[in-house]
Amino acid sequence: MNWRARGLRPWVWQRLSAVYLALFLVYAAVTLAHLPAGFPAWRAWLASPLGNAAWSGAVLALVLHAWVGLRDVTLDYVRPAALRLGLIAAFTFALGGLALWVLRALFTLEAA
Amino acid sequence: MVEGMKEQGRRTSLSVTPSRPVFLDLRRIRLPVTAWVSILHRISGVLLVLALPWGAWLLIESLSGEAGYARVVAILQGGGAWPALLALWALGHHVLAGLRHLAMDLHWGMGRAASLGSARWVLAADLLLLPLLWGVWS
Repeated sequence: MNWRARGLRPWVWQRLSAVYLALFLVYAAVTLAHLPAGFPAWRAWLASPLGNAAWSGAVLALVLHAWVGLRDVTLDYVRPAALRLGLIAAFTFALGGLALWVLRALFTLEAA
Repeated sequence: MVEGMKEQGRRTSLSVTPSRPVFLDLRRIRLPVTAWVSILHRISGVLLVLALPWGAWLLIESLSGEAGYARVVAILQGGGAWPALLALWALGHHVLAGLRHLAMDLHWGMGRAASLGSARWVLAADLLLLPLLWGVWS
C-alpha cells in the first residue's frame, strides 16, 4: 500500500476505531447485563482500571470514527471548497472538545 | 471546465455549469437492497453523531454523584426513552452494516449473490432489533 497517498490514513483510522468500538460494545453489553443497578456499581465500574481504560479508549475511538465519517459526508455533499474546509474545521473542534470534556470526567474519577 | 480553474498547479474547486438532469423524486426512486443498507448506514451515522453531545452529557452526569445518576435514570426511563431507543437502533444498524463493510474489506461476500444476501440479513436484523431493544429497555 502506498502510505503516502492522502485518504488512506483516515480510512485505516475508521476501520481500526470501528473494530475497537465493536469489541467495546460487546464488553460493555456483557458487563452491563451483570452489573447491579445503582450508582455505586456503575461508578465502581468506570473507576476501575479496566473499565476506565476501556471507556477512555472508546471515547477516543468514537471521536476518531465520527471524524472520518463526518469528513466523508462533507466531502461527498458539500461542493464549495471554503465551506468544506470550514465545516471540517468546525466539527474537528467540536469533536475534540467533546472528547476532552468526557475524558476529563473519566480521568478525575477517583478509584473507589 | 478550464474556466473554473483559477490558478495553475494548485487544486481549486472546479465550477461546472450544471446542465445535467437531476432526479430526486424519493417516491419514485427504487434502489437495490444493498443501496438501502448503504444509505441507512450513512443516515444512522449522522444521527449517532448528532446524539453524541447528549450521550456525553448523560455519561458525565451519571458519574457526578448519586443525584446525577438518579437524574439520568429518570431521563432514560421518561422522556428520554424514545430518543435513546432510536439512537440504539441506529447504532444497531450502523454496527451490522459496518460489520458487512469490514467483511467485504477482507474480501468476503463480494459476489453479487453474497452481497445481496448479506444486505438482506442486515435489514432483517434491523427489523428484529427494534422490538428486541424495546423489550430489553422496558
